[in-house]
Amino acid sequence: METAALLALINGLLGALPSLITEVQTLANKGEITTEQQAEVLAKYQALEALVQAGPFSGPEWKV
Amino acid sequence: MTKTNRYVPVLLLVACALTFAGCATALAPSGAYTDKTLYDADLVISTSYSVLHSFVTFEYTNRATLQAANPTTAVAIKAAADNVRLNSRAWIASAMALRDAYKTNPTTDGASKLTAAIAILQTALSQATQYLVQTEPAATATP
Repeated sequence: METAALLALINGLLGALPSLITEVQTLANKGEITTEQQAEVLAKYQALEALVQAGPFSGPEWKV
Repeated sequence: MTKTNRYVPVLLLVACALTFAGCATALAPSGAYTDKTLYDADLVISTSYSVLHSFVTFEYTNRATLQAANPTTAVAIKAAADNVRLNSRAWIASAMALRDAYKTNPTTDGASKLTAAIAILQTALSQATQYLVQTEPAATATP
């Protein structure tokens, strides 16, 4: 695998990790979603909202 | 950990998120959310873009390698990636719009529509994750 591809994949998956870790932490906390976890999810969602408005689907990887 | 399975832990976490989003867990009081449906929606929507972007980037960057390794599989992966390319903007936009509508007016009907939109995203995430797990070994097999 080319280095650029590997980095792109890792970067993307790392971007998803906070939300995933939040879920795992929730399970560890016997089902309660803490205020910190809620804040993380909200921040991530708000970041996506800003990204969508900036046009995140315009790179060459998005062309059919 | 070998080259062929280095992404498996991360991808399993994706599967965990997809599986457990929607479980009957409680929101801690005084948090940012008072509605579990809204929390689940935000979690899946915000995760979906990262994973789907990783998938189309992976296919785009490794297209020649995948074609050389297994032409039949490469065609299937290209088709799946093209489906994501053509539809993910609408999937995410629809989920976000329904999320906003539900937040403004949290009705049962709104929750059903939001859940349906989230299910579409979860299906796309599952497929993308499956292809990433299956094809990463092929993409790393070349010297």
